[in-house]
Amino acid sequence: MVEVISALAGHARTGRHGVERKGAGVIFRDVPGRDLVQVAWWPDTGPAVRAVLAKQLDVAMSDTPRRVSESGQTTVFPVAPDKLWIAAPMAVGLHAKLSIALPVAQGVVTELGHSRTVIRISGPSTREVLARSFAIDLHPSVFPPGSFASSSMHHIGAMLHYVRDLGGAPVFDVYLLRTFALSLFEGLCENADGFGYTVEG
Amino acid sequence: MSTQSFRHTSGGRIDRTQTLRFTFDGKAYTGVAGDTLASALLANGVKLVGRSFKYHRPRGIVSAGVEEPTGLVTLRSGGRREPNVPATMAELYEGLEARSQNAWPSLAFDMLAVNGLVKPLLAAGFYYKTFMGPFQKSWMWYEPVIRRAAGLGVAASERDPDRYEKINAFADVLVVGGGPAGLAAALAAGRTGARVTLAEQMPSLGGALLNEPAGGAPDNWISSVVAELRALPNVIILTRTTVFGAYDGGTFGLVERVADHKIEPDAGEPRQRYIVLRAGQAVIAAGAIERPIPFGNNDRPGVMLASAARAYLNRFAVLPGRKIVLFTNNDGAYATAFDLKAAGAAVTVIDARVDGGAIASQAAQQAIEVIVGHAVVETHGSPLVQGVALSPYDIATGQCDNGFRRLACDLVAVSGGYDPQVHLATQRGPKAVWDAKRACFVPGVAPDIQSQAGACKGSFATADCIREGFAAGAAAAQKAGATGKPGELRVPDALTANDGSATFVPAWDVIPPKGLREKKRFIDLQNDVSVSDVKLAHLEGYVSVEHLKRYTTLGMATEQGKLSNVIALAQMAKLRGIDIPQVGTTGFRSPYTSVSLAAIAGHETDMHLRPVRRTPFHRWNEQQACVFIDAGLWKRPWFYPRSGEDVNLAYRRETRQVRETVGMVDVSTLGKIDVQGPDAAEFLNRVYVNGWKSLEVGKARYGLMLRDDGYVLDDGTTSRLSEHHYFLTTTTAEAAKVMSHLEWLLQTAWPDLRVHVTSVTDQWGGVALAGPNAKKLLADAIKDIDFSNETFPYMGVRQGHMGDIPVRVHRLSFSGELAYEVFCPAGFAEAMAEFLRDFGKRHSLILYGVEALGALRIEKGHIAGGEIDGRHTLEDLRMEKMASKAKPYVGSVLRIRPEMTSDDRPRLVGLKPVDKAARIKPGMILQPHNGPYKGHGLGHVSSTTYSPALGHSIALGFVIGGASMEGRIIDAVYPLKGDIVMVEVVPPHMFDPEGDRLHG
Repeated sequence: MVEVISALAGHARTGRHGVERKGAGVIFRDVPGRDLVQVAWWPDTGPAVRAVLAKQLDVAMSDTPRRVSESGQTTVFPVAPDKLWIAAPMAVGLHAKLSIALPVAQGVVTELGHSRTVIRISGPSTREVLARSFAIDLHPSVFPPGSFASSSMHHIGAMLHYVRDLGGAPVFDVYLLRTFALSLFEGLCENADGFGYTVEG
Repeated sequence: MSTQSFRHTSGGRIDRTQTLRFTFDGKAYTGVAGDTLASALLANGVKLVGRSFKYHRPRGIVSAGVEEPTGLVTLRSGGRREPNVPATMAELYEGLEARSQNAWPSLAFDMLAVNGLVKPLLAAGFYYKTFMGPFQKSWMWYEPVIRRAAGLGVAASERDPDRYEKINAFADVLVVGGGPAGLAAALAAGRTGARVTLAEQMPSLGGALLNEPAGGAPDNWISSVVAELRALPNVIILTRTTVFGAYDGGTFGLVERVADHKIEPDAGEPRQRYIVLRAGQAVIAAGAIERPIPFGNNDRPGVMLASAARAYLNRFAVLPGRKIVLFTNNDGAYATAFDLKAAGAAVTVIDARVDGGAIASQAAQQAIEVIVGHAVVETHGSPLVQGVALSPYDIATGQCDNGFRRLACDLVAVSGGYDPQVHLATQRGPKAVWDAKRACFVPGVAPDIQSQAGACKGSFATADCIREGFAAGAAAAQKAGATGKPGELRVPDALTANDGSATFVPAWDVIPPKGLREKKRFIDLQNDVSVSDVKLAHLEGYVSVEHLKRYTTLGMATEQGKLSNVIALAQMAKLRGIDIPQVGTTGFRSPYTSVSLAAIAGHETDMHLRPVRRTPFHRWNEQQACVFIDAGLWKRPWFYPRSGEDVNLAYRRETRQVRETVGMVDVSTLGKIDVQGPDAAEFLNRVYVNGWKSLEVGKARYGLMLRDDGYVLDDGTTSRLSEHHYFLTTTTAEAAKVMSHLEWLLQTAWPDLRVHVTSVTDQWGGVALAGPNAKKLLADAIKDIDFSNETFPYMGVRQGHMGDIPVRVHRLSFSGELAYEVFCPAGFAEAMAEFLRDFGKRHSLILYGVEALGALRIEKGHIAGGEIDGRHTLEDLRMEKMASKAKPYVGSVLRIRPEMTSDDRPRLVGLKPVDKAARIKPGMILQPHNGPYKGHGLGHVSSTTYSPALGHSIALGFVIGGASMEGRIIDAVYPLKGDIVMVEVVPPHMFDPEGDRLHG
């Protein structure tokens, strides 16, 4: 199978950058191989669609706004009252699977996996770097692990997901529109310059 | 190198062990760590620091803070040069470079001081009156001369090498000001567990308490509170941070001067940081500014606010004068007299009040001469103050009488009371209200999330500030949802001294007695606005406070009314015979305190000024030596030059070869919208002017959509992929607008339709393959699609695979050639391009860019951005026959208004030059041949190109009469350049009008 080429391929310089200090403030990693689909439904079919999805994905669907539901490597983002996004490994074949499971009378499925570039940001200075791009209160009391927000970075739509804590430092995924991804990634790097950062290959 | 002859050997809050070298106007001096530039200059006996805005009068240091009106300097050099910095706010560092402003050839001898001799000609509004004649355009000649003569510092023209950054921050409670009220507020809020941010614009916390002698009870109190605050993990303390604006929704603008106190920022450190802080609640404890009193020549270097004199002594151990006159109308300023006297200065207090009361007696006991019922009428000396004239004074009328006498001195410290800093409150709407008892404006109704505490509310006593601040902090935290208890904060007995405000009597003016010629009494020292200017404005009818400000330039630039506003209002009130609150006050706009534009821009500069948008083929295009062109945010392939080719040679070659073999162009920038749902066909039928319900699965159709007002919004093709699934494309330019339009319709006009629209522009990469060999190439590359005309006709859509790559193939043409658009998931775009290039070799495939794309479509008369510019109707585009008469659609009602369908409107035509060597330029106005040329003429040229197929320049345009003008000769004119090109009006389809090539 032909390889998916990232929007950052050939441009993101791997290695250590920014100010010299003990340990990088943040680590950037391009997250490949993730699929993303949007499921949208009609005003009277929401519960039915959610039931189908819960069964198909084996996910207990969260009712909490701005919180994801997860099962294994599948993550469900309730992005709008009548829409949610589902991220999973490409091998799951989300689009085909859900298109069969959901008749158009209940809802529709749109493939978005190639439309987003997912950049994982981790390290002790993650929140400081993100605060330079996102107008979102990332304090753990307000935005705990499992939170996500549809927001904007440099006036371009972007989604931010607080994945978990790892080794005492937060791990975030930033979903960027593919065509803006390189430009916005360069902006993230510039914002990380003062903290020192590593771009992992 | 000068010595610090005015520096005391003890006291102050400085570090004498760290000597710092700096220069002012090229001369070397030394200061110590903890100095400001102003304190270091004063320590060295430098009192003349600048020249005034208009009259070029010598000016000195007036204050010790952000309100400094005259001690403005230019710091640093090269790209780091920063003009108009108050010397009082510039922290000293090793190697600091500062220069005075607005003086030539030198500060001591400024040629333009001659302006002072023609003062009557330079009164308020002088340039409106004096420089308008004698000719109509005289001002154009005068303006550059006046601009050079007047003004402040000059901005750097070189690139600033430093970084600036912008950051978002959040707090439950924002506390503005780190004085006693602010510290107490932050402590109370912090103890409750609320997330608190305390912002203080000076480097140290303590506010006005830092003006007290070092080492006493105030320092102990500050230390204990700050230590507790620093120990609270939920409290962020930002020093060197100015809160310059209050905005909607609890949003505040802050600028942190991260590295301004260093010769250059550390590695990775920004010079300044712009913080957009969103707060649940805010306690404003911004303090107050001492008010001057206008008297003759009150701008002479050596005239200083009394609080500033005390600050220089107690913060910086600098004695600003040795023989000092202190002119006051209140008790509070006596503290300055006491401290200066204790420091060894000879001090005389001129108290404007009839009776100085107990404080005057206390002064007398300390061998300080107190002269009550008098005023300083004027200063004398050149350029520095060498003495004053004082006279008996009626504080109620401002009139001096019964002669005068002179008194030698080298410093005049003046205190006319205090003005609360109400700007952050007024920025949110509520007007400040006049407090007659304190003779000052105080905040009115507390706006939205704000509360005020301390001196900015008119409470000048330290103990009151602490108590108010603590209560306000606790209340704000509670409102923000904190549940902890703030406990108590005891006010030490030593901080309960009277503030003297009860003994305050306002003094708005000092009118000289008979026998003394009236001198300029400045109200706004920065902008050279005096009492006489306000009188002149009043005489000429500028009685509203807003007009007064603009006519006289009062409160402009960095001054912003800090020292001048209330005095000017009082002058106008007196002239109009009304009370001050009846005159009103101007609101304070942000930024009240100057902030650099670099900080506001932050990191959004250069390539980050706006984001760059790249197609999925971008890297591959780079590898093909593509030259890109900016189209909105997109980087689009412009042309692919071969050796020695410029854009003109390249696109002509590309255009020719597309028509001869086959070309490939990146069309990923087209807007792409996924339309799905049981009502999708109905939705499209309502959006487009033409019918959509009959479109078969596997077919595409060209569509035009209108705005509500009937003008053409956009065009594009939409393909039916399955029963309820459509793939809609838009033009590159209108993609976002169309998406927004469709969402708006579904959410507001037709919520009953079961349709979802989703932008998939980023999901799909696409190329167009155009030319006689296009079909053969694709048939080679895609094995699971039958490309025969019978099974895959024009406007057909098929899905298949190019190797492993899933593709959607649409048989469409924008070039008039046999052509296909091929889309694949964006991550496979490079692989697809490689695939096509490899298969293309045997079919003579070339790459072409948007320049050739434009030439091909203009030859065919296809419309694009130049024609769909929001001003044209279907009739203008000669596409009215597309509009269905059998159904309503967006814009269907308003598009048939008589003015929209009138034959007088310019209609789309093709244009060819009569002289085939002539070039038609974009934007040319179309006029009757040989005139007369009138106004907008017959129409305009919308798109132009050189046509390789026709061998000459061609154009599309709009001409009144449209098709009926075909065959006529008209003139295309370019008035700015004087160009006139005779053109023939022809049909828009200038190449292959029968469309034979389209079908291969």
